[in-house]
Amino acid sequence: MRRARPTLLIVLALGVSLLISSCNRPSQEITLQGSGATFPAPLYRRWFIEYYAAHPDVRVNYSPIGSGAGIRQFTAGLTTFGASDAGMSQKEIDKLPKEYGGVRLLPMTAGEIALSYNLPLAAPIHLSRSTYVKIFLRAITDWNDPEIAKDNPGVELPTQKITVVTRADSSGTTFAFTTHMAAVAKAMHLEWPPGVDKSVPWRESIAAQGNDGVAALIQLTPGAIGYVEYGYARLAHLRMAALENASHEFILPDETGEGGQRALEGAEIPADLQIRISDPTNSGAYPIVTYTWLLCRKHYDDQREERTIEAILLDCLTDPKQEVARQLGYVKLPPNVVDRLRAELTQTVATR
Amino acid sequence: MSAMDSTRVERVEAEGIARPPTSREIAVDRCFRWATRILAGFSALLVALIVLLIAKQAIPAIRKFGFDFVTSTRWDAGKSQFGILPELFGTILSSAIGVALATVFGVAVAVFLTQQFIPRWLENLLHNVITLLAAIPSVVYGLWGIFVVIPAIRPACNWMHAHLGWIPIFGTPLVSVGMTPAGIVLAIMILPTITAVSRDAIAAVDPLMREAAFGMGATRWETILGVTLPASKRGIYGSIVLGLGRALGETMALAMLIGSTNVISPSVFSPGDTLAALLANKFPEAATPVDLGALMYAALVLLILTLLVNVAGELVLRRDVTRLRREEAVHKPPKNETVA
Repeated sequence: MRRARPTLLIVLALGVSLLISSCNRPSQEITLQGSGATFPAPLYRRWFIEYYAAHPDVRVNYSPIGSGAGIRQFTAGLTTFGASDAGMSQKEIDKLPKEYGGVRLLPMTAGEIALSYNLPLAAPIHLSRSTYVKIFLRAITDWNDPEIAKDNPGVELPTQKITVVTRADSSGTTFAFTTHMAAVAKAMHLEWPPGVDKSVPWRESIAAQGNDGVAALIQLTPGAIGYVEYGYARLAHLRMAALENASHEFILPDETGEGGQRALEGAEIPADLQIRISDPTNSGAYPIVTYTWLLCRKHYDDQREERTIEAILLDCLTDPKQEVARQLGYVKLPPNVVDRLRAELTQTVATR
Repeated sequence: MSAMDSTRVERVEAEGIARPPTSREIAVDRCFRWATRILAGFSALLVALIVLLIAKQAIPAIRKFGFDFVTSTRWDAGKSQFGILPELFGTILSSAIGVALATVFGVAVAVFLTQQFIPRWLENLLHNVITLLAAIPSVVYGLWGIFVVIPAIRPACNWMHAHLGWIPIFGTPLVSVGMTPAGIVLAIMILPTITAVSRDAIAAVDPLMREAAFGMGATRWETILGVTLPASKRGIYGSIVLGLGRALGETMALAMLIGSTNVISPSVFSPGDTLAALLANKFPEAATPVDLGALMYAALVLLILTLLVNVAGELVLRRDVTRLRREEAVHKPPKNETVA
């Protein structure tokens, strides 16, 4: 029965989909693409959505892919703007293409980094400067260590091992945190072997990806302590420690963002706007605070793109938008920084 | 005799219904043959290309770090120090836990689904449900591991640490993430592979062998353990190798459950790291060529590890097959007699 059967024809559909980008829409819509730090992502998205609601012809997409990747994409010209929690190093700035005319590093918002922990205690635990440095160095490994007990009189500290939770990925939060820790360690005449970087070799810690990952891991691990951006810690309902600042007050990160604001006050603004607050000395200041930067070119080939991005950023500096930042757990920019940023943005408009 | 049969059939067809293929049919046939050849060659080429490209990017790191890369324990991108021994250890340990658990359960399930313990329709239903496990995304397994597995096993693990802590493998408590939860979730992830392949192998055992065993008065369990499983050994090994291959490369769920920490601990409750998780964690922000090279080197090591496992599995299978063949050759004449 070898009847001639119809041969099975396999048609290989090679997916060659030609995207004919004949932009024949007459409207004046403009789409800006940005990417970078995860830390300010919720705020940036909110700002850009609100801007879109007011200006339906301007769409801004922001992908939180991490500071390092954000800088890379910005350098490669894939995005209109980038974002980084660690600012940009001179080496990274040198790599930018010439036609950018340089980079503008704009500290659009700031945030507090909380030390969140998982212990069944009602009141927030107090940690002195040397104590929290030693915890992350694993010199203190038990919650009922006399050094912790000293700062928490009357608190029944549990007999439990401390588990340190850190970031597995490279992150601006780690950069800001280690910057602060190194500064405190130096002031306390302690060694800080991990160093300062976006990713450092921690001693004996468990690690997770992203602020949200760290928050989840702390929640899961009894006796854990880790560093998380305040907004994420609040979202996860984590307990946060009151930390001793340089003027020996114990400050708790809270919704008013007051501690953070005090920390930002009076900081020196360098010419490149990379304001570093490694260890604020103001009274009432929360000790671990960092700015996060938006990266723009100084010169865009498309004039409209340049004007649009300036308009958006100026809008983000207005008081209602800064109030949104506070509601989301970020720190409002101090007036002198807002003025300086406004000058930076309008000055280039004027000189054109 | 059979050869004569086939020639007779051919002759009948040549005289009757059969006709020579038309030129169109020949052309289609040829095209199809070449298309499959090209595609088969293409997939082989793809594997070679992947290996080559990764190796090419890893060369600077291989030159710089040499074999120290595999034997040192520190990963510090800031100081350009790279070592993957803890990751290598963690990859192997977590996969070993996963495969051990999945083998026990997978083979047991495969036996259960083939030896008429339950009605046919229920067998099919259960088989499909287990196959569905393979369709669950890795990240969902990770979340499930965090929120279900860890809280569920923690009391038992910490009890074991408290009472059996003097045994090194229970030497640390289970804080949350660690090798054990990672291994358990891995086991569930590779269960469908092991079950499906060993089920097919067990189902393929000649029913005559089972019946002969029953006929000799063996009980059901004696038949399963003494006849069915040994006869399907080859397929079961194959399923384990496939499962191990998958376990070694599993990334997302492990990145969430392993703890990503640079330690080598004999304790199965300790957190650790795996190569795949290291790659997933460090790749997105690897900025310098040195970082990238080191990651590519790690990827190459993972690739070689997986390859070695597959080759080892293949060798075990081969040895087993040749031995089986020899045994068959020895036992054939009396067997044929009894059948006749």
